[in-house]
Amino acid sequence: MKVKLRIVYPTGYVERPILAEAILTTGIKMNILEATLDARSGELIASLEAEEPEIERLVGFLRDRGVKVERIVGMLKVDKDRCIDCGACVSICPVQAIEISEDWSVRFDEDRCVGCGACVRACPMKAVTLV
Amino acid sequence: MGFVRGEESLRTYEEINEKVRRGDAVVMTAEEFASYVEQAGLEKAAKEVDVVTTGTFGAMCSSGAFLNFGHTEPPMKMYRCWLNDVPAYKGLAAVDAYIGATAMSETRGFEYGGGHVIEDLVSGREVELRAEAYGTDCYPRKYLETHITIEDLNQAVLLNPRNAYQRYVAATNSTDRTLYTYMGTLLPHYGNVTFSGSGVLNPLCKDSGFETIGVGTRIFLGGGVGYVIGEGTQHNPRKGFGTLMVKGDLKRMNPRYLRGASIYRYGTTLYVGVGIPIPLINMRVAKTAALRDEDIWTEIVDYGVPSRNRPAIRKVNYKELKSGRVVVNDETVPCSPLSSIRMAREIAETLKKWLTEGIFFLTRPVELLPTDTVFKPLEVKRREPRVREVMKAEVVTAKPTDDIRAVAKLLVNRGVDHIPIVDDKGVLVGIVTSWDLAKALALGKDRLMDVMTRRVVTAGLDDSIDSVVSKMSRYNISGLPVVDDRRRVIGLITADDISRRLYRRFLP
Repeated sequence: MKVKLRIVYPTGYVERPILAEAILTTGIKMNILEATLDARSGELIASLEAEEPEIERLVGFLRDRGVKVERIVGMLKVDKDRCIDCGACVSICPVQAIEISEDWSVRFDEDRCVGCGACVRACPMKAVTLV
Repeated sequence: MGFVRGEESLRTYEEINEKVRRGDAVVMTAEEFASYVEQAGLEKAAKEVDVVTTGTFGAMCSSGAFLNFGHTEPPMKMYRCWLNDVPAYKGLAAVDAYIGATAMSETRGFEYGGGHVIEDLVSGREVELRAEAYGTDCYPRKYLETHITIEDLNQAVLLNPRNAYQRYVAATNSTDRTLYTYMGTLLPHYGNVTFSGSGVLNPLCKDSGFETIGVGTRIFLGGGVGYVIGEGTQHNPRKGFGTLMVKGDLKRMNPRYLRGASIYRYGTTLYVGVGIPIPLINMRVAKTAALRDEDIWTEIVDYGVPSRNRPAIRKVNYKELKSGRVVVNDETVPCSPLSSIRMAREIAETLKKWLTEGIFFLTRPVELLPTDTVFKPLEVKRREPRVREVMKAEVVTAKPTDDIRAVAKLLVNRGVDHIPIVDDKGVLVGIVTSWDLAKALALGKDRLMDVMTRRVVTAGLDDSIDSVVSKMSRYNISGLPVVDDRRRVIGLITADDISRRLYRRFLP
């Protein structure tokens, strides 16, 4: 299954190669969608595809080393009655999770969404929310 | 050019309406017609097709509605009034008002505005009406608070001074920060392109000679029936930026095609659905009605330049814009529309249905629109000070290799707070402030280059003071070096200089 994780490094953990160790140990390939990092703490959003027990193992591995991990589920919510398929959210999406289909309706790919909120602000109809 | 604009050499309005009545008018949407012409040729297509329908559904800020509330007991000459806290224009008779799409709620700001009030009214929802008056012998009431629905109003007339732009420029952003504009969110460093208008379906593109669309043309407006009542404001037909002024009975419109909108950090507006039937009265009209997306051109303009003369980056056609990727400065960037092309298509289809079902008839304009008006700018006649008049031309500068203690001494002796750092040729390479130096001394640094700020916000000699003030507030700084086109330092302008200048303005 495909999941997205929010991984938060508290103060003092940023310098350790915890994620690299986790990847090497579990063998799970990860795609880092977003990373904010400063000298004190850091936050990553990563997407990965693996079997449930493997995901559990990865999450456990990270938690054992003092890193906070939470699963991101169903982040983007679109009110189809408000949406007029204008496209104001499309070209600003940093991960190309929103696209215009053949019939000019706007399609949202929730698997790709990283919950950055750019589309929420850009929507003139206030049809998009993050949950 | 020996032709009469509006001549009905292929077919007359009466002939078309007779066919509509009989249910055998040949109607195509502009998309269908453009591809039919590609396949069958213009001559054949123009002979067969009577009417081409168009549509657009985008943000149209110059929109609003005249409302008549009826009289209260005792009556009132409303002086100011609000609908759901959005102020409506009251410089009219006692209970007439105009609610404009961009007026914003006094309590909810950017979230809710006149466009939303119009959508709520059309949806049949209750709207709070609040009004104030000074009271007269004939209109004694001074205050009113009640609820209304569109049913309660005597008249509710959508009257939009400027709708349905023939085409519009596409937008991009050269600066290093995200811009929030009426053209949507524009990412830094030409990160994306946004555009408006439906290209092949755009009403005025399909009759760009203004031969059929004129005063009295019956149209699809907001899901109901409307009329063109003249050229729109800023109508600029010579440049291909024609516009329309339209009106229609709001009571018979459909909220699906009138949607209140909030554009982030810009304001509120109204998305309006407009569809116009183009009768193919002569070959010239047929030819423009057949234009494809690739035949309709506009420009990509840099909204990073805060000027009414924003520079054009390149020409682009609607086919490329609609492809989702556009090349800007040798880089392919994502591109998306702000107006709904799906809804534009739906509007053209709806209008086609009305015509083929015999419930919508064409009107011959009583007067054609002007084709020679121009769009003039507004010159500011009161003189506004420029940087060159306010800055100090004598600037204390230092070299990157200078010792911090020496520079600190300079700062104290000369009584300044900002020292631009320049190389041997006088070119700006950094800046230090008294605060930077205090910090450097506290941390025991020796050389300027270790503490100076390298990305310096600068001003030009002829920049307006207004733009300098906005840079100061945006970057939270108090002084800007003034540089020439080779980035050599020729002055310094500080918040002190500006406040002194402003103070002087108020002296006798």
